[in-house]
Amino acid sequence: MRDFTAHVRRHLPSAGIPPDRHAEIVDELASELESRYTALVQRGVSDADAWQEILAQIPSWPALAHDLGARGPAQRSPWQWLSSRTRFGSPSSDRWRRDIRHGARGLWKERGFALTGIATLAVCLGGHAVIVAGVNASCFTPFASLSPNASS
Amino acid sequence: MQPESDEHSLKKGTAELLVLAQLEEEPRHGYDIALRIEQRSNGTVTFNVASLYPVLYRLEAKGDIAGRWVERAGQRRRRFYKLTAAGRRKLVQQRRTWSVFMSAVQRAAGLEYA
Repeated sequence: MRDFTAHVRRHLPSAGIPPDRHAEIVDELASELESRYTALVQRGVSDADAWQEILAQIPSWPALAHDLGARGPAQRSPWQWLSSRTRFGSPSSDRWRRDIRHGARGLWKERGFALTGIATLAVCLGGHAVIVAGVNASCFTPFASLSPNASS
Repeated sequence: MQPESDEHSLKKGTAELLVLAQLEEEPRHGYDIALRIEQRSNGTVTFNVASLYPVLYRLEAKGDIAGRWVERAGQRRRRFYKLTAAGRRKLVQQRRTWSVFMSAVQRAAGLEYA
């Protein structure tokens, strides 16, 4: 009999999935694959063909891990959520880069809207800087003539 | 990226309804759900592991179904899913929505006369 648990554990990436949740998913998927395999063999399918059928059940393990990890019932802490999105080289970072590209494409498509937004931000931030500098110079910085050490 | 087949797109849109409907009468485990869908659709709709479990976990995360491990002597433990009250309401609502939609598609596409 094949070891389905070992097979699933070996292939299912654990990145982004809490360890307890990962162990449960491994158990459940192994049970599912074993049931399908047993049914095929009982129908007279050879071991090799049944195994090929089982392998075809999950075309991409990273994609499955991503789908299961993102949607599992186990709650993830904000830190886990953040770290799963900033780990470079993982499917999560691909998604992150995809989001950035998607945002950039959207801004480029609506150039007028993007420029208006950027100009508004620039004017507001510039105006704010001028006001803060003015208030700082007039209210918080003492006049030179009032300084006791200032030479007249 | 490969273009999605018509069958794949249709299945994706109806996946939640199909899974919820299999749990209406009694709790079932993943393989049983997939098998039942295949049998009731005469083999037209099949779910592989990679497409079934994301749907199950999504429904569980939304509170429409609840999973529970069941252990039986001499057997591997299995996770059985049952409909929650929210899931039952969702099933009724999705059935109604899909019924209206399918009738409209039948009329619009002339499927009644095909």
